[in-house]
Amino acid sequence: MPERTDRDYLAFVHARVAELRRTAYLLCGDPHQADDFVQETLTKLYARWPRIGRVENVDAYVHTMLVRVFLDDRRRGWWKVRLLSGSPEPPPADQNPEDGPVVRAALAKLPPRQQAVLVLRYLCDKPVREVADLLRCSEGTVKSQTAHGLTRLRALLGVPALAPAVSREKR
Amino acid sequence: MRGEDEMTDERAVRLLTPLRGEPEGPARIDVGRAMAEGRRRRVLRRWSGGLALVAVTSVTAAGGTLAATALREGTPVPSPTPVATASAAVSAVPAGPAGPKDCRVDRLPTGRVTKALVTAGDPSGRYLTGRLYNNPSANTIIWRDARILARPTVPGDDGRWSDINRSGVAVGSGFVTDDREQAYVYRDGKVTALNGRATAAYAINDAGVVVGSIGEVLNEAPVRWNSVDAKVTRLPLPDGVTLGRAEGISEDGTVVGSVEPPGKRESTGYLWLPDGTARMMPLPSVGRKKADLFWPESIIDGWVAGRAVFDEKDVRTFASFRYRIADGTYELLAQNVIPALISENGWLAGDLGGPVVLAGNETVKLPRHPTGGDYQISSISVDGRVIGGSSSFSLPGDKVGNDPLIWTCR
Repeated sequence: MPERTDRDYLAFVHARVAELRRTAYLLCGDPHQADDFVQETLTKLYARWPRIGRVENVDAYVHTMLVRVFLDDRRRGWWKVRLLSGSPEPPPADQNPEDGPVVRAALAKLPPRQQAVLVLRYLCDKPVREVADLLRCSEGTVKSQTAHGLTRLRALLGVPALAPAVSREKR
Repeated sequence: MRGEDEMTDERAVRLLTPLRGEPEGPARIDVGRAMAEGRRRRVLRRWSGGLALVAVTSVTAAGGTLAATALREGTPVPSPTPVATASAAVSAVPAGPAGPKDCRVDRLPTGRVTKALVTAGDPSGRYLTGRLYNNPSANTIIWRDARILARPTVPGDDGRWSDINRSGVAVGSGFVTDDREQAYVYRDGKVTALNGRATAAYAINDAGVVVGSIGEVLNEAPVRWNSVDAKVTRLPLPDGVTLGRAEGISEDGTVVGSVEPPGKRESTGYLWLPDGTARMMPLPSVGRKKADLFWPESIIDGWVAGRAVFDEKDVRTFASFRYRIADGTYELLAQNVIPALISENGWLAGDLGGPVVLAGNETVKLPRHPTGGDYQISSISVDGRVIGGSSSFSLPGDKVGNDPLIWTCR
């Protein structure tokens, strides 16, 4: 009988593609770019598939790959933005901080790892430990990147650090 | 009173909430392209030792677009009660009251090569085939009695042997281009191409009959060679079906494989019998749930073993079965071993979070190798006492190591 690696790869892809797409979409906010990230991730995964063990263990591995694909892309874009704008610290926006595009634009101005940390923790609801595993860094680094990222994001959105971020809800 | 961290988290979630959402529209992900490109990069990596970033382009491919359904492996199928149990009167598989005993594991020799896999074994357990990595002089290996017999080179990329018979004749394939394989045979120390362009060979029995596929990768049709010198011949397919593969052959000439029924993008089990007839394998049930597909993973005279696939809205589950060819009934196995490799006494070797042999309801854990990690089981001898497989383990720098292993039992 043949090695079943291709079949197992296809089974794995079918099983995980929706979740990968969703994570990619939350990371970048653009459905087309999200599909590109997933496409690249699945390509890398297939390139390494013969050397990867059981499917169950691949989950964290493939999400790490996806985050890296995102970071690689953002690092290139990030430098471009900085060189072109010349100002890494734009003034606080006076637009509505509850508006998706406004928040996304502000998030995109953060360093890529801080973007990834905030999205994984607060949109993908992943615990600090898991984010640390995905980014291959310590939990302490995740926490400090979270703190820096949030401070920066609030500044960009003009949200006071001590007031509730979105004040519409009542406690 | 709530902790500061909790307050921070709550406020952060609310800050980012406007970004919540799901990607709209159909996925534009082309898995066929990912596989073709991934295969090309395997070659690149082999030659360059590193990997250049390749620009990501988006492609909308009608044929290769995936439905974005979430499916999960490893979720237990509820109510694991067999609906089709072999009656004692017809059963040809002995209960196998005692499983294999006193099993030991040894790493197979590979000369100076440190990374290697076992890919197949013969019915006697004397011969095993494997792949060698990072070795310019040969990409495969054949062991006899756990000693190196030969280190042949299979032309093309990802060359490997898929099966070997009691005479030490091995069949396999290599990728000669990104989407085209060529079938090869190893016999008397020589590697030669089997007849037919764009073929892959998956199995050989002791009579020397070979089965496999013809056509580009993911567009294959099932074939047979009546001997390693014979012309390739296509196996019949049911009306409306064009895709399939012949994946295993028993000593009595029964061929098992899989075909893609019209409208499905995945294959399910199919049998070509020695009398010239052929039929779809029925789909087994667990409780009231009927499987959506059945994937054969091994064949021995009278029996096929494999995995049933159950798809629900957003979950995919598996259950391992053995199928009695004579009366078309399934028996649910006590555990979902992957793959389910069957021996003549009805034992099944596979992975269950570690290497195991199932003997009836008994699960015999095979010893782990000191290098540890995960295991891929590739062969079991007809007497169930010699098992071939490989371990995978992490190495520094994101690399994966593999050891070729043989388990021998009493």
